[in-house]
Amino acid sequence: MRILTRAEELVLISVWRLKEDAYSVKIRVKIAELSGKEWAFGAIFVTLERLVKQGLVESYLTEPTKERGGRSKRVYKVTDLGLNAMIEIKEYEKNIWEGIPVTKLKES
Amino acid sequence: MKTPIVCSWILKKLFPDNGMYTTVADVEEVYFDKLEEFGTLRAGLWLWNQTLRALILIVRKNISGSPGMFNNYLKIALRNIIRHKGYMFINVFGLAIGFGIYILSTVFSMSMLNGSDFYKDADRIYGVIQVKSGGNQGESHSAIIPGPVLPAIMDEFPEIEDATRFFRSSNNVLGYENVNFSEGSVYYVDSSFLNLFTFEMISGNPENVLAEPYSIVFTESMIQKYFGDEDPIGKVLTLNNEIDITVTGVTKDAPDFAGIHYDFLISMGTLIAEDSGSFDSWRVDSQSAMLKLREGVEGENLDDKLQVFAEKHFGQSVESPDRLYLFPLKEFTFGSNHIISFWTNEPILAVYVFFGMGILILLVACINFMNLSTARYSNRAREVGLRKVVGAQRHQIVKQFLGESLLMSLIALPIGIVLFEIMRPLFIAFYNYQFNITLWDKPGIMINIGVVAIISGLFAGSYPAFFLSSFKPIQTLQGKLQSGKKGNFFRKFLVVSQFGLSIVLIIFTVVVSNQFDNLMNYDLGYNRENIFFVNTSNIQQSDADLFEAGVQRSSNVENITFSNYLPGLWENERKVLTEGMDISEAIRMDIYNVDINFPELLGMDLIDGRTFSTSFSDEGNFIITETVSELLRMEEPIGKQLTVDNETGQIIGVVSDFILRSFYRPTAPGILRLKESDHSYMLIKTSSPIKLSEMRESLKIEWKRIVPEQPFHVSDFNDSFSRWHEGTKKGSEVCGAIGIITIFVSCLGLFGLASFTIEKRRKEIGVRKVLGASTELIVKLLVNDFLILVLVANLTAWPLGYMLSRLFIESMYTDYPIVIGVSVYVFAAMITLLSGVIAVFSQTFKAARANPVDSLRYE
Repeated sequence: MRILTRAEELVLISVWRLKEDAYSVKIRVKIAELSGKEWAFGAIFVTLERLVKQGLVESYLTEPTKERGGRSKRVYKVTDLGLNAMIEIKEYEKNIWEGIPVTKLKES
Repeated sequence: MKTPIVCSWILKKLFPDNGMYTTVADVEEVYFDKLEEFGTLRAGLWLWNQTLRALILIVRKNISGSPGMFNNYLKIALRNIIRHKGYMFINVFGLAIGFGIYILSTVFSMSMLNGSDFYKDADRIYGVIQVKSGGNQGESHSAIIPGPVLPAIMDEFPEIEDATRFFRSSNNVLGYENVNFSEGSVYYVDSSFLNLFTFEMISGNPENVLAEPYSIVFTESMIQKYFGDEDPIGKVLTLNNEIDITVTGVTKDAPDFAGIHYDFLISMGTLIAEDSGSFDSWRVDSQSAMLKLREGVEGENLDDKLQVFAEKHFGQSVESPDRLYLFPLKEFTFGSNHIISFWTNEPILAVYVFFGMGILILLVACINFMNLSTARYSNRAREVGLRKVVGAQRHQIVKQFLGESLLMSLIALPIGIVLFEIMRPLFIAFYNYQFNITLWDKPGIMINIGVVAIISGLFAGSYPAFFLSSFKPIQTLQGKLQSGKKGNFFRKFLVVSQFGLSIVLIIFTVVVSNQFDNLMNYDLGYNRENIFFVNTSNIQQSDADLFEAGVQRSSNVENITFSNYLPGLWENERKVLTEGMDISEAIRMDIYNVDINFPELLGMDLIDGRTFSTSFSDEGNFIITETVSELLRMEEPIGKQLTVDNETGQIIGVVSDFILRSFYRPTAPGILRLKESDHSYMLIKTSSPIKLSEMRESLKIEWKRIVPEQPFHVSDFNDSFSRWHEGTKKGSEVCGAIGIITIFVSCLGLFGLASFTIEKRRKEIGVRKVLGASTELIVKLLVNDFLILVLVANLTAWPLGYMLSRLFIESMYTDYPIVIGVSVYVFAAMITLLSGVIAVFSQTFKAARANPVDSLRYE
């Protein structure tokens, strides 16, 4: 089983959820949505690089678009390996968190 | 739309994305959204925030492989700083002093060297220089040339975009509402002057303020003196009590290193309209000509054409130049000492020396740092051992220690800047600079300092990092720390080089200050004592005679004479011909126009013939020096004819050699010529020493009686003489101050080293004491160890210091270098040995006094 850092998990999940649209700008927005924190671009680039190195995501360039001044986007896509890792993590997290109550207690 | 260049550059470097830069495009996409939504400021802040965070992330990743390790290194470094406060203080403070002095020398030498950057298009501006040969010094280069040269050049050279002529006049009287002032720095300039030299205008248009005759432009600092708070524009002044001139504009004062320092600019048209001055003569060197070339034209390419030009225009006369060439403006303020010009130039060598000292002291501070860091290796050896055991690679440890020294240098840098800010006003006051030179004058300086801080941090950390990372974990963890033998040798080498550099500085300082003393006591061939100058250039000859008669009556006045200029600054090279000599053989010599009594008043030594006398008609006759008679190959000079400027006179006397020139200029043979009409200064010799203030009071009464409306100015020869050479004195004082600071930093190093070495030898001292050694013996033993190092440093630094200072004084004072005596080395040795003893004594004494029981108990 592959253990990822929390940052890697978040990026991986965001990439998967965004499907065709998964490039850093959108990933950043997604992460903000999921975790409530605005990440620095640098952090996203570094984490994506690490995921690519591990073979969990792959990337391809889009056709250059006019809105971006004729520059391409690098869009990321979860690989089969990545998807399997996600499934494993989900399973394992579920086991870990089994039985934790749903309702919050009042803090004294 | 564009993103700030710096940010996108950093981002590109950080996330190259295999050269595709999609990453940067991503960031920019959001940036542009923010730009539209929140405006430039917030979007800019956001972008900077992103960039900096990315930068920190990458730095952390690179230093330690992971942010976690980085935090650990930082924590360890900070803990070390807190635990060893005293040691860290010495370390950081030494480095900060180094930075402070370095910044001082960089900021000031940069502003000096780039003084001409102040002018727009400075790289395209050149001065026309004429070269004359003859005499015993080879060629003479002068930027002061005949007036018609420039207009003629302008006609023939299409490469020239703009040009101007100017000359400096030191004797002028300006009056406003019947109050007269004598003004020493008036420039007569062509109307294009302010176009070419872009001095900042406060009021008036640079195009036309000097276009009309009878126009004067004030500098800001002169307004108060004449007009108080009134608006100066349109006010009418009198120039030399004759002409009315109108204020047409005001400029800011020229910066300290701009080379041209005027108080007033008067349009050249004024003199032409008054028909005074020699503007149309090709034979009289009267003014400077500066020109601006069109873009893409190189000054050197015009020199051949100028050669042809010179041959065409100058006739075959005694004073015609051999050739003309162009000299770049940038070099006028520095490195033009061989050219006679109206520019104030400072010797470039002195600036390099100052800059060199900054680097030197920084080097000493870095060595200090290395020394102290390695000396306390035992403190860190265990840490290194443990890190290695748990898997640290050597390069990681190297990075850790380099990072630590970088951290120290970044802590030291702001302290250094604070030290610089403390020294800056003192330095400006010391050199009397008019402008506030700051760290922010040139953007390059901040970058330079930042880069130097990083480099010296890495340099200072290089040896400790290499040394500390070499420990074998097994030995260090066993507690064996004797592996530092080689380090011992290297540390000694460091101390020696530190002291060596300080000794070089001390030798240099002492030599330069001896040189100054030597200049002050140099045998000039005449006497400077009890002589006063009165500026009489602005009064009529008849008034001057009246004044002379009045002064003569004072009881303690011994002698009075007149001269055309001030002895000690006087230079007037002309070509001299003897009977039957061809024009081409003429020799250049200084011709000094003086009055009767001049040789007697200065106490010159008459060797042959007689001196000027009223009983003969001596007007236009000469008194020559021995050197001159040798140069002219005259066996019997008395009675021979000399021709200067087409005027012929007789040699009536020979005196021993004298030096009326400045020491900064090469010597030239001198000839005195009696010219009763050519007076600018009155020289008064008193029979006994008298205070300048008393002299001024008594002379002023007489002056007010004869010419009450004229400004009165008197000065003391001896005082003025030391003021003219004060550059050397101040230079030696700055050297001395830097030398003392360098010794101080070196002593910090020695102090640190001593405390650690003694710490290591505690047991040895204990054993020695148990076996009966006395306190004195132990102190002697320990101190000797360090003094040997200082002694070795002395021996190695002496030749270097000798060579450097010899080189310096020989090129600065070509004709007056002193012989460097043994006392200089003795002095350097004494100072360093003494400060060395002071640095280590307290430590050794404490160690020697310690109770041996304390140091041996735990065995």
